[in-house]
Amino acid sequence: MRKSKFIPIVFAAMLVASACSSSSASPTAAPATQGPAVTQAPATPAPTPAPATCTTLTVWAMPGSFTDANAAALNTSFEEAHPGCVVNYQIQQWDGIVNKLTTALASNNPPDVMEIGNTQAITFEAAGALADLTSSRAALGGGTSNVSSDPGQLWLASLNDASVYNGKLFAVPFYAGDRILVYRKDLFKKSNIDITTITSKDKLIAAAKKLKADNASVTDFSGLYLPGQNWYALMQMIWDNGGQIATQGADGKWAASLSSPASQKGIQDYIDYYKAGSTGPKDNDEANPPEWTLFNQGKVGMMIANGWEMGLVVAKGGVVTDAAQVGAAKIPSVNDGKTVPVFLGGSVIGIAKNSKNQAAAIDWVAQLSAPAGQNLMVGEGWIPSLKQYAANIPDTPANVTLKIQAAEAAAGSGFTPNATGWAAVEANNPIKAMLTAILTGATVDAAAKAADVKINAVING
Amino acid sequence: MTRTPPKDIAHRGAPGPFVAPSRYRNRARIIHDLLPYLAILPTLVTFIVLLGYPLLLLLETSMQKFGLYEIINHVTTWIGLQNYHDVLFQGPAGLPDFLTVLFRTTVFMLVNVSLTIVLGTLVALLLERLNKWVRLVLTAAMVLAWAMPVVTGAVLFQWLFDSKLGVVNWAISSLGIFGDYLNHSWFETGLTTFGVVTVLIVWQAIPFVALSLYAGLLSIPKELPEAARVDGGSERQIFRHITLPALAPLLMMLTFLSVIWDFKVFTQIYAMAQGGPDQQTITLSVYSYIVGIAEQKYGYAAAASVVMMLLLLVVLIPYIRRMIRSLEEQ
Amino acid sequence: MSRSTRRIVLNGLGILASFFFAFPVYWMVNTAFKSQEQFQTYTPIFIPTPTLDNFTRALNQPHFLDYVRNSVFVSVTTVLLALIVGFLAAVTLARVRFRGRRSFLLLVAVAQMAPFEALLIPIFLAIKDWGYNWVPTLIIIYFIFTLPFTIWSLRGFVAGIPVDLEEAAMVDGATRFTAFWRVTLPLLAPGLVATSIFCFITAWNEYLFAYTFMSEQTHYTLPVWLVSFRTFLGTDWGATMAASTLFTLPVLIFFLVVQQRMVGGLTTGAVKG
Repeated sequence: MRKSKFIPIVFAAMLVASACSSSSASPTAAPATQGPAVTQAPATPAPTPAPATCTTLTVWAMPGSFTDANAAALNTSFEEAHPGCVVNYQIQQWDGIVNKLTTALASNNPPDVMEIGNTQAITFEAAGALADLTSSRAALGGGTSNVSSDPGQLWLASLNDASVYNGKLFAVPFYAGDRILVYRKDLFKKSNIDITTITSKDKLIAAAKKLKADNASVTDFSGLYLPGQNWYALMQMIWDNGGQIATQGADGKWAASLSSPASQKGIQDYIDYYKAGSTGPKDNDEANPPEWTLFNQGKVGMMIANGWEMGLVVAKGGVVTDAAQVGAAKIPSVNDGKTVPVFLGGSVIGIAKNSKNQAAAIDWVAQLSAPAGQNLMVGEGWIPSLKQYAANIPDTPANVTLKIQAAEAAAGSGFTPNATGWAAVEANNPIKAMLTAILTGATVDAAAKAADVKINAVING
Repeated sequence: MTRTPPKDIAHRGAPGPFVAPSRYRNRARIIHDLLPYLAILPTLVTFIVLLGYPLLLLLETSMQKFGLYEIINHVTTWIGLQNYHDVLFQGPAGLPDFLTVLFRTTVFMLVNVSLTIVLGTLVALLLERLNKWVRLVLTAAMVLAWAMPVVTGAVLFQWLFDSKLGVVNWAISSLGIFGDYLNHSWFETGLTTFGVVTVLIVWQAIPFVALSLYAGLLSIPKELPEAARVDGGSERQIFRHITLPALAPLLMMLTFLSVIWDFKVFTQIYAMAQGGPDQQTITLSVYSYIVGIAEQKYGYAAAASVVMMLLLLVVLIPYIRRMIRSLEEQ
Repeated sequence: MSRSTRRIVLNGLGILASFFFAFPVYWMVNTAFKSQEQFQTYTPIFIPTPTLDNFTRALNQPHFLDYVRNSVFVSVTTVLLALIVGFLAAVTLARVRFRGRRSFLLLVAVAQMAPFEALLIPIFLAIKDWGYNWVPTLIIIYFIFTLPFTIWSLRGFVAGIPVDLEEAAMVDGATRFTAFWRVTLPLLAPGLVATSIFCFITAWNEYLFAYTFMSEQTHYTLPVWLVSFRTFLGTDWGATMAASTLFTLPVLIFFLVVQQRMVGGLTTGAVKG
C-alpha cells in the first residue's frame, strides 16, 4: 500500500521542480543579455567630462550606506545626464565581501563602480584591480594633489590615505564616521556632573567612579562602559599618546610598534579606563554583547561608541526611553582640553580596471563630491568626504551628533596601517588577544611585545 | 505480477539448451555486461570531469604565486613547491607552527567525532525504546537543530555562553550547585572556547548520526533480538552480538564522514572566536583561511588544502579499504 | 527495575534530550519575537511580550521573493539530480558485481573528501566564462557536493533490502525491472527520503558559493538574505533571528510531511526482510 503512496510524491516533486525551472527561465537568461550590452567606451578615463556613453552602468554599494531614496536620486540624475544609460544598482553583503569582489573583478563582466570598506581598499589597490584615477582627480572633486597634507588636497586626510597607493589615486573617498562619548544626561544631572568639565582622562575616570558610586544599587552598572576588546578605542588612546600600531620604514616595510613606550602608555590608558569600574566582558568586544543594549537597560553611564549607536540606545521598554536622556560629547584626551585623535571608519569607491565604462563610471562617482552628493551624505548621518563640507555641517537639531563627530575628525584622526597584510592582521586580531591577556594578568610590556611579533609576521603581505 | 507474459523471460536471454546461439543473443549479452558501466557513467563523469577539473586547477594554483593580482590580471607565476614548503616548514613567525596546529586539529577532531558517534548511537538506541509521541518530539527537535543555519547557530551559542547575559551562566548560577557563574568568561581560554565550539558542533552533528542509525536499527529484523531475549540474553549481549554487528557498516560510514567534516570545521570556530583567544583555537582550516584567504594568497591556501586532503587520504585509505570490505560482506 | 519504571526513565531521558536539542532553537524563535531591549537581559526572558516587528523587517527586505524562488528551484533540482544519478550508481553497486567496483567505491570515498571551501577559487576559474552569475551553476556545484554522500547512503539502503524479495517476484513472472520497480523501490522510499533531507539541507543552507558566484540581487538565494541584516551600522539581530526562524521552517515541514512515511516504510521493510 505504501509504495503506491510514495510514487505520487516523487512525481509531485518533479512537477514542482519543472514548474520552478520554467518560472526561472528569465533570470537564467539574464547574463546572456548582459554580456554584449557594452559599447566602445574609451579604455582610459577621458579627462573631459563630456557625457560618456554606455548602456548599463553597474554600481555596487554596501547595505546602510545610502537610503533607497538617496540612491535612487543619484542614479536618476546620472541617467538624466546620460541618455540611454541605465544604472544597475546592486546592494552587496559584508560577509565574504573580499572573495566576492575578487571573483567579480576577475570575471569577464566586472561591476563598474564599487564601494569598498576603507580598511579593505589597500588590498585591491595594491593588486592592480582598480583603475588609476590620478588624471581625473580634479574632475572627481579631490583637488590637485594626492598628498594628504597638501592644501590642494580637498578630501578628509584619512579617506585620502585609504584612496592613494604608491602616489596614485585608485579610489574616491565616500564617507566617514567616528566614535564619540555617549552619556546619560539624567544620571549626570543626578550626580551633579557637568559634561563640559570632563576635559581629560583623569576627569573622565573621576566622573566614571562617581557615577558608579551614585548608582551602586543598579546591578553591574558601569560608570564608563568598556568591553575588554574594543581595539578601535584602544587605537585612539595609542595615537593620543603619540604612539602608532605600526610604522612604515624607508624600505616601505611595516613594523608593529605596540611595545613602543608611547604606545604602551596608550594601552595603559585603556586598562585604567577599564579598571575604573567597567563591567564589560574581558574576552569580548563592543558588539558582544551589543553595548547599546546595555546602555538601553540602564547599566551604563558613559561609553565610547559610534555615532549611529545614539539611535539604538533609546528604545521602548528599557530604562532609556527618551532621546532627552542621552547626550554626546567629544572623547577627551590625556592632555587637558584636547580630544583624542579618532579612528575614521568609512568607505571609498573604486572603479574596476577592467570596466568597459570607465568614463561613465567617473561621471557617476563625481556626483558624490558635488554639493548635492555631499549634502546627501550629511542627510544620511555620515561625515561627508570633503574637508570643506565636513567643517560646515549645518546647525540643525538632527546634526548635533554629526557635528561633534566632524569636529573630532577635524582635530585629528588616524587610520589602520595602510599595509597590504593588514586584512590578515585583522583576520585573527592580535590586538584583541593582547587586551584580554593584560586584563587577565599579563604585563602591558610582555603582551605588547607578543602582539608585535604576531603583527609583524603578516603585516607585509 | 503474473500479468507479464512468459515470453519476456526468453527476451532476457536466459540460457537454455534449445536456444541456438545467435547474433541477437550476443548483442543482448554485451548490453547486459555494459549496463552497470552505463549506470555509473553519470557519476564517473561528475567526479572525473566536474570535480576532477577544479581539483586539477587547485593543484595547479598550489604551485603558483597566485593571489588577487594574478587572478585579476591573468598572470601565471610558477613557483614550484614553494607554497608547500611554506605551509609545512615556514609557518609565519606570528602564528603557531604547522605541527602544533595539526596536532591541535587532530585532537579536536577526535574529541568531536567520538562524542558525536557515541552520543549519536545512544540517542538512536533511546529513540527505538521511546513511546510514539516522545519519539516524534525528539526527532523533530533534532531535525530543527540539524537544519539551523551554521552562522545563526554560532551567534546563538555565543549569546547563550555570554559571560553576563548568557542563559548558560544564569542557569548554572540559579542551580546554585557550582556557585556563582554570572561573570564566568567561556571565551577567555582556548580550552573553554574549544569546549563551547564542541558543544555546538556535537549538538548539530548528533541528529544526522542518530537518525541514520535509528533507520539502521529499524532494518534489523525484530525476530533476532526477541529470540535472543527468550534465550535469556542480556541487553548488553544483544547489543554486542546482534545490534552492533548489524550497524557496523553504517557506523563505519558515519565515522568516516564525521572525521572528514570535523577535520575541516571552519565556520563554527571562526564565527565564534576568530581562532582566539590568543590564537589558541587556530586549527588547520582557520590557519589556511588567515594566511590564504584573508591575505588572498590563494596559491598558499591551495597548497594548504592539498596537504590537508593528502593527510586525510593517507590516514583514511586503510580505513576506507576496510569499510569497503565490510560493505562487500554485508 | 520493573518494565514500567524503565519505560518512564527512558521516556524521561528522551524528553531531556529533546530539551537539549530544542533549547537553542527555542532561543532563536524566542529572540525573533522580542523587541530590541528584551533580547539580551541579565535575567533571561523566556516568554517575551511578542512583537512581529522583526518579522516585518525581515520580510520587507527587497527581493525576498526572488531569494525564495531561487532557493526552492536550486534546492529541489539539486535533490532530484543527486537522487537520480546517485540512485543509478547505488543500485548498481549494491546489486551488480562488475569489474572495477571496488575502485569505483574508492573514487566515491575520495570524492567525499574533496575540500569544497578550498575549491571556491578553482571552481570560479572553471566556470567564469559561462557560469558566473547564472543560477543553475549553483545546482551543478551542490550536485557535486552531495553526490558522494547520496551514493554511500542509498547503496546502504539498497543493500539492506534482501534480493530474495525481487527474485520471488521474478519467479512469479515479473521482469527484473518490474520486480525492482514494484518490490524494491517502495521499500527504498525511506532511504530516498532520508537521503533527500541531507541533500536538501546542504543545498538550502549553502552561502559561500551562492554569494560569491552570483552578482545580482535577483539571483541570490535565501542564505544571502540571512546575512543581509548586517550593515555598516552593526547587525539587526532581531531580524536575523526572525529570518533564521522562517528559513528553518521549510526543512521542518519537509521532515514532518515525510517522517511518517519514513518510519512506516522502514518497519514494513524490516518485517518483510
